[in-house]
Amino acid sequence: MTEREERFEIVGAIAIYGSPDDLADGILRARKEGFTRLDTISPYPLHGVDRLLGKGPSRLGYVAAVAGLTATVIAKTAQWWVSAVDYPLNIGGNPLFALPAFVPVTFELMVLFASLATVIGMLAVFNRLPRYGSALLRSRYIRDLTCNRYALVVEASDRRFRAETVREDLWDPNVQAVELLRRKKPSLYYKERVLSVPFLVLVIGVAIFSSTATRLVFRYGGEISPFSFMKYQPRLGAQQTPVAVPVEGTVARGYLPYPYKGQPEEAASLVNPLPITASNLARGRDRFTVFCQPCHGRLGDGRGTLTEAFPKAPTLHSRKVREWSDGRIYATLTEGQNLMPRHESQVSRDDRWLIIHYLRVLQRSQNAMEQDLQ
Amino acid sequence: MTHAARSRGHSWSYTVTGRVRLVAGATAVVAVILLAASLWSDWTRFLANSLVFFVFTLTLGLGSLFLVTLEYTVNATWSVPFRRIAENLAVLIPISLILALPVLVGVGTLYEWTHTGSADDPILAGKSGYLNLPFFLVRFVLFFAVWLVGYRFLVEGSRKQDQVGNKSFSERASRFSPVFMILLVVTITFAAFDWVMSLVPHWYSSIFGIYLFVSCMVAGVSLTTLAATHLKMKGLLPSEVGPDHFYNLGALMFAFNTAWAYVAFAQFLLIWYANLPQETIWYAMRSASGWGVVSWLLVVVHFIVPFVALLNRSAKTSLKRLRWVAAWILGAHALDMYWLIAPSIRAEETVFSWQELWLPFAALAVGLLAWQWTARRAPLLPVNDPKLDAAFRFHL
Repeated sequence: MTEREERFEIVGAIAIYGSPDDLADGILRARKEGFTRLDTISPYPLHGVDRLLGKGPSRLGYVAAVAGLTATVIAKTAQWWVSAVDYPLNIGGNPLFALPAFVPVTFELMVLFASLATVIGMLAVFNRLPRYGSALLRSRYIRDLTCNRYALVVEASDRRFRAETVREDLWDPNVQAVELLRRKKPSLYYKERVLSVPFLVLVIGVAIFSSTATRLVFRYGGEISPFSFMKYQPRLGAQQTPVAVPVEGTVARGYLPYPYKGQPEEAASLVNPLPITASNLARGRDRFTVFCQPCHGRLGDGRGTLTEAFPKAPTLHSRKVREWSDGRIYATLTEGQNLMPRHESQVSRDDRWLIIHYLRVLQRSQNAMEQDLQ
Repeated sequence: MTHAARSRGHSWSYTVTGRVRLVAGATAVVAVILLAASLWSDWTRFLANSLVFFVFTLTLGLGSLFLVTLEYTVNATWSVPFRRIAENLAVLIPISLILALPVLVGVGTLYEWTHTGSADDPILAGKSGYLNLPFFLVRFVLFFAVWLVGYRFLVEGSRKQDQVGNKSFSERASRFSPVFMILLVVTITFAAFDWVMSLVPHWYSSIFGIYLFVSCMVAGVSLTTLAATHLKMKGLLPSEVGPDHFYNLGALMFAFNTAWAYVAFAQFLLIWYANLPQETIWYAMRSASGWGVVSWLLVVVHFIVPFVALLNRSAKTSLKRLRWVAAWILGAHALDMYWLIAPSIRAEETVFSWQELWLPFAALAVGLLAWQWTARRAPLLPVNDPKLDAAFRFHL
């Protein structure tokens, strides 16, 4: 055994033809000879050659189908979980599990998964890539095969393949040449090319160069901004003092400054200025539902819709709150208390008083006394 | 190629067999009896059904003609042996001009905008610049003029090429087709607005024209496939036209049917999401008890079943399967056209009754009679087309 034979292995043979028709005859002849693991190489796709080679339809479609179905299930489940279970969000009164609205995302994800799986599946599974190299690239005919020659490939893994007799086995009058395909043994390839010092130096060098260059570009090269017109438009920044500030000491129309800042007990003497009428109570109920109900609950019993996401708010039916005067409650509404934020800017003065009217109704309904029943 | 030479020697002419003539005659007689009864019993319902029949027939013809222009525009070779079939089927365009007569007679009954005073309805008053009877009729004439000019040029020219053998016709058709294709899409869009969308004149959907255009494509490809598979199984097409050619027809059918579902869903999704009363009304008409069933049926029959049936590669090469699926899609398309038109006119009444029975019989009779009348006039293959040999050699 020569040194060359030790380092190389035969992976197959190619028979060179001058025309697609000769190649087609050659394929049929080779199949008659008993070869099964056949392939062709041509400068352009030859239609119908799959059928001549006896290959069935590609199984790549099943890869795409499985990936697409997986994506469908993932997309539907994820959207259902996010929008209907974990963080229910009412969008325009549509149902939380909005099947039609979920279709576009499902469709996109299906296409994404299927196409990625098709490409990766084709390269990795069916073309068996990546590889260290192809034996064909060592062939003397590779240049012709990209130009005007056509090759029939027989793989060495074919049971009919005999390296000694393959020339005779593949021979017919149209064959221009038969060549054995050799390639360096993959283990040697790995040892000599991948673990070699120059290659490792190259990889590490490229890594160091590209990360240094990236760092330098971002550090000194400035920012690369394809669309900067929004960033550099004239505008106010967040928390920046607005241009038009009210003149000092002025009071806005319909707005009276609250005189008891930080003194809730002083405010207790305030009297509810608004009459109790059906429309006032309705307005109070409406504002209560918007601003108080999320924490204190529909009935003011501390069982609001936010109770699981937020610290529990106290009930409004405690003896303490029931005995508070309207003015004392008004102070809490205006300035907040403990975790409750101030509502001065969100709820108008009148609305705050109306909420208190409605709260009294709630308190009475939940703590009815005997005289209420008569 | 010796094969092609042998196929060339054959005349590929089509003769009507007595059985086909009998079936066509019998269905025509049944259709006429049922039609007369329906006409006598309920005039409005008859008008609505004749509009459905007119639009259905027209979409079949326009889709077939579009398939012809598609071949010239993209310079396809595989479809050349099927082109004569599509050309023959495009005769449904001039035929639908006759079928439009009841619609034109009953235009005042069918379309609300013809008789609503502008004082009653400010929205319709605003649209009256477009939706008025004289302009409507002008557009009607214009659309048919465009289609018939294209039909005459492409179909008659191709038949003449059979006798004279002038290769220059193919070149002229290749220059004519891209322009005509654009005109076809524009006219179909506005025809859809005029004849179908304006049935509910307050409602609008900008994708509606595409919906009907894609419906034309589905219908045209399915009808051509149905005819081609049937003729092939009867041995009337040459042996070179094999599974690879039919695979392409199946793939086109699959693609256009999926495109139909895409457009139909896109229209529904936007209207459903925005949830505006003036837009949802159209779907509200179609989700009342009986029509709701039809709406869901359409999803299953027009999308899911053909999608699954055509997904596999072997399904697209099997003549038997293709013929079944093509017929199925044609049925689904008929249901689609019925669903598109009838609820706009009578959302409250029963979905189906005996008054609709004449439609399937009339469709079968018109289809068979039209085919017999037109297929005899030229060979079933464009025998002098310069690409025919290449088409015979086509492989996937």
